[in-house]
Amino acid sequence: MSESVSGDALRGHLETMLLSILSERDSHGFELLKQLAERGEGAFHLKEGTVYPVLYRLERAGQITARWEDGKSDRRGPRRRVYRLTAKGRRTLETARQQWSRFVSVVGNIIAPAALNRTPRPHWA
Amino acid sequence: MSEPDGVELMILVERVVRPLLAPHSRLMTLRQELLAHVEQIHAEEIENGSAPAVALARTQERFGNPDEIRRHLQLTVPLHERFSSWFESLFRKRPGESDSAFAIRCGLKVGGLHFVLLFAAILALSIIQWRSITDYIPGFMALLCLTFAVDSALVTGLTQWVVKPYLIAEHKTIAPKGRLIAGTAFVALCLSVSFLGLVAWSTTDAGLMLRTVVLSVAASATVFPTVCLAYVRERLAAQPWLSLDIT
Repeated sequence: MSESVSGDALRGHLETMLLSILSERDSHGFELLKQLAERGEGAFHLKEGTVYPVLYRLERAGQITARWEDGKSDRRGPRRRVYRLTAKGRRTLETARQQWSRFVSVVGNIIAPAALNRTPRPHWA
Repeated sequence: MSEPDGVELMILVERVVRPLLAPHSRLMTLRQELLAHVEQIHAEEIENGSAPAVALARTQERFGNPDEIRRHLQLTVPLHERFSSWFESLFRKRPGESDSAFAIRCGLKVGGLHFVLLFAAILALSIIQWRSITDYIPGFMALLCLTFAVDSALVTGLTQWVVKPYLIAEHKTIAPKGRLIAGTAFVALCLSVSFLGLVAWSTTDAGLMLRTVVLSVAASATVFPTVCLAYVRERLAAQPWLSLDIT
């Protein structure tokens, strides 16, 4: 099992991760958490109920929209709310991805250049 | 899933949702969405071979602390929705409150609302014209507000008689978006009636005073039953949730 990622490290990136998953397909809350767990390789230990304030915040910001699933599913029980990425959400996600790539590149060069197959630059260069 | 387990899952959700200061529609959306989620967690735990009691405990653990979830959810409720929920709660019947006490309390609040609106208007006028506020406060203002308070108390009393079979007192408030409109219309009507009343009472024109009182009663008689009946519909829809003991 991979090492756990602390809640503090996860916080601040959860919105971007949710937007990224939704960019691939519409999902409801339970499915989003499943995707997070699979892609996170078991490193995330998120309390599942805490994803909903994030989703509602994204919805209020216009990054995602929600609709009730239609009644064609064979599943019994209450209907689920399915979320979809909006155009605004796509733009936000694209910006966040660029910022993240830059962040990883810059910080990685300082913290772990070997891990990035880079030779650290001498201070006089 | 057994019925007791189903009820426990509803209680878990209701601990998050019920204390929220938010309109009825938002609360019902949350209830349904969160219940669907916890039921899926529970079903997954059962599929993994857990006993029902263990599955329930695991569901609660995986879902998280209701207080923390609610705290973060409250921040997602827009300010105007929180205000409308709070404003509506001012006119909500308290548990065990008698019809007459409720009518008097509503009447006093309506009278107080008129007084505040009139005072604010007078203050604005004195600032604009740069004169002392005492130059504008009419001696009859208290009498005028008392008249509106009595109108509203009478209307609220009669309204309760009409919808009494359906009214249920509760601690928490839930308000549909439509009641925000009704509340805004009510305040606008209060403003109109207040200014008309200022004119009528200052001139002691009996005919105008009578028309003002009739208009005030008509406004209250329109708004209060609308609010009460909308509240009754909400209550019936939310009854399976509101009957749960979440303590």
